[in-house]
Amino acid sequence: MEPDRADKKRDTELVSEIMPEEQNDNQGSILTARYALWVIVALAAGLRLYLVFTAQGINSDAWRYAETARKMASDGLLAGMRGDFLWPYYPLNPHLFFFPFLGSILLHVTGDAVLSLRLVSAAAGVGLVPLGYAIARRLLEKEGIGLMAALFLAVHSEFARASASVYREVLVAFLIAFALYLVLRVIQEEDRKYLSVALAGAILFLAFATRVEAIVAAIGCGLVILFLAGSINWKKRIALCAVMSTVFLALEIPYILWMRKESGLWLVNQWQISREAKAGEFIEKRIENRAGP
Amino acid sequence: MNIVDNLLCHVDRIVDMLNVPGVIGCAYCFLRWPRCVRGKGRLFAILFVVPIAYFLVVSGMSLSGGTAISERYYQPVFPLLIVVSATGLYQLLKDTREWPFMGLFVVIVVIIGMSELGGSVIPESCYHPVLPWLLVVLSVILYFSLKNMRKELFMGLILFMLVGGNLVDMLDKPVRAHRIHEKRAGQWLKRYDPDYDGFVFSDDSQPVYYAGMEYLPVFSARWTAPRMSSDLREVKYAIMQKEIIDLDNGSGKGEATREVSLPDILVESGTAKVNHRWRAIQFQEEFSDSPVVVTSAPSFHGRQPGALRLRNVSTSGFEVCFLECAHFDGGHTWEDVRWLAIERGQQTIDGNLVLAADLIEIDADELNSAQRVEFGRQFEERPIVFTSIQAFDKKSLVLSRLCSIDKEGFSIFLQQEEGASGGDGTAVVGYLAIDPAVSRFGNVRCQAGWFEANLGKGRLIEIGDVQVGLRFQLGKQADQRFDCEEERIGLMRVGSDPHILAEMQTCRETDFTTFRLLGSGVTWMERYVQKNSWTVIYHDPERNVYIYRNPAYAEWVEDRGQR
Repeated sequence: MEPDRADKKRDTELVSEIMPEEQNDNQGSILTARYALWVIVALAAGLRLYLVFTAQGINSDAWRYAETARKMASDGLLAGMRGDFLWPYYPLNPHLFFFPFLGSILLHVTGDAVLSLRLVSAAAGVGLVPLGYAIARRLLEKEGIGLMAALFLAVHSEFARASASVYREVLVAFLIAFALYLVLRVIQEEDRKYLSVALAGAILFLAFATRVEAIVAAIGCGLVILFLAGSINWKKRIALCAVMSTVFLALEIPYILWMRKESGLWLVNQWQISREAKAGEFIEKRIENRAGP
Repeated sequence: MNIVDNLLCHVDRIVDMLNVPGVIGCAYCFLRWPRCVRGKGRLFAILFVVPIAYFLVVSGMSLSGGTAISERYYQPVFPLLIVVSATGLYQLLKDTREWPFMGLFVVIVVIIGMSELGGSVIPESCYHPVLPWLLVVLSVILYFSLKNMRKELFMGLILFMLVGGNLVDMLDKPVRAHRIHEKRAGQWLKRYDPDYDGFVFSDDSQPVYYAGMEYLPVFSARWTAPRMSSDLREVKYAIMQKEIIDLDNGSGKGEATREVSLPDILVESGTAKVNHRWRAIQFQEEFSDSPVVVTSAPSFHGRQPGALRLRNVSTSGFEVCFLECAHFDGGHTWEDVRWLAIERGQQTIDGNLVLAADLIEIDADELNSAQRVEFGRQFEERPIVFTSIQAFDKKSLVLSRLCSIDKEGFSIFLQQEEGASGGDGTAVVGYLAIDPAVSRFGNVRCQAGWFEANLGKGRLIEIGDVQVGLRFQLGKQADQRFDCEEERIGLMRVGSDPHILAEMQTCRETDFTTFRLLGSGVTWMERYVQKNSWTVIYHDPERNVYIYRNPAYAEWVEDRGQR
């Protein structure tokens, strides 16, 4: 087949995948759909990179994450998690650690904390495009719907702009979607169920360490396994939930103990410190310690 | 707190975030549920269950006062809704063959879209009578146009709208373009003083971050300053943004093309110090009938939000006190207030009203049931209206809130704090409606106008030769919003002092808001900087970003050097 004709045929298939007729629904070429998905992912990446490199300012909270990422890059993860450098000087950094931690890794390459955090958001935003495709395809078994979801996630203006900002929400969205995808795999496939739920438990902990409300998604994922995995017997469902919870708790318990050691308080998440700490004492110490110019 | 209001606020914000194609997709998915999910509804429900649970948690946290809500807080579960929306849009593309159904759907979308547009762009009173008919005609035309359109063209149009509209929205301007001025100020300061990395008081964190210094929020100054030395010598710079607003009086900002003087009217005005106890004010000259008394926004000596309440308004005087919002203890420090008493009646020039003052009884307590007040005659331009409750038998804090002001009249209702009780009843309200061109009435010189403002932030207003800080205090509210709607605010300066009358002229959002006046600046820090002669070293005239240097810092450095 001549290259031009082959391209033309592929384009026709692509169009028919995005806007299929009833009879095309089950005949669509998976290969063409994958090709289309790559095009959409490339489009999403291009748009986000353009937005990242043309961004002109930061949001009000961004400096806290940027400073935390800097501290993590220079003095290690735990120093950033302590965060005694942030006004109003809590005993622990009330800003959760996973987002700035990823930023601190990129900081070694970019040298700019804000840019690093934007790139983390952008990467999560791009990662959501194939995830959206995969979730839609798994739920409804239609390539067309998966591609439509991917396209919409790639070009949705609000979401794309958030992906180029110093916002942790896009990263949480990616983590929640990833965990949900793994749970869907568990429900629909036979192989490596325990590995998938273990991975989902770890990802949900990371989501919880990025935004506290992600705990709702963790509970939701557990309920989905318990009540929607109709093809799996009850005993196994309970075992799967137990594995997911165990992995979550295996990461959470050391985190709780570390917070107890650092602050003297029993906390489940650093975010709570903003309510618990007596900030006045810390600012006085800070002012006292300032060496001047 | 009103749970329904709270949830509706959140739904509203989710809809905003999804944007038009997203909402259309979701709506279509629900509308064509069986065809969209094809027997997989149980599994598909995951896409709702997780977001709904998440939204309820976020709403619950805002309802309990635990956090304020921004649109981006919903984004973590947003991709799941996008999958729902994509399913709906996919089905929509497939359904282009079914003309009656599609036509009906498009018509509904157009009607909703145009109603939204009409509500925000055209004054409400103008579009109400004609819009329904216009919509019906347009919809019929659209329906038949679509019916004759080729299917591929229609599908292309939908995809083009989905992708193209989003791309335009996305690439319209760079991310956080509105923060460029703060970034420039910070970068300038970095170049100006590259060695300093100490404290800087700033309205926003952004310039301090770009300056590489340590941020102290201006809003914390009242709390941090007492923990520092008396002249804040530990802080070398302050970065502040002053938004100075010129009043609009209908003839362009800050300009008056016509002046109207009304000498034959009995008016008395004065200032008073007011706290939470009733204080009697006597008029110098007795009125023939109970006058209308309106008051300025109170000063900001005490931080607790509240408003002035009048009672026993008679021909010889009245009583006034400051009522705090319900969640405070009620005891309040002295505040400065200007009052204005004016005889009831109407003044006309060339058959047009220029001033109307009267007393009315109000029992409406909701925006939906706002009571209409007609002047009986017309103003030439939309007047500015000031009101005050002159008699109310309940002790709770209630505001008279205006809406739908036009040349013939206005609507008014009594607004109480969200969650508070005991605000229902009948109140006697005095109103003063005035043409902004009026420059003198009786023996009092005045200057009136309006501006549009977002109530989330205070404003520095230039009125005549004085600058007055106007601060908005939002009462406790269910949605804990950061981002408020813009409201039109009417102002009037009476005499030469800065105690201005201020009142909202619109009710685009029903947040319970009280006004306070600040003599020379909106924040404590602005006033401190002026009082202690900090030097201006940078000014961005476009956005009025100022950088000040603390003169005491150099002495501190010297002292430390000697030690």
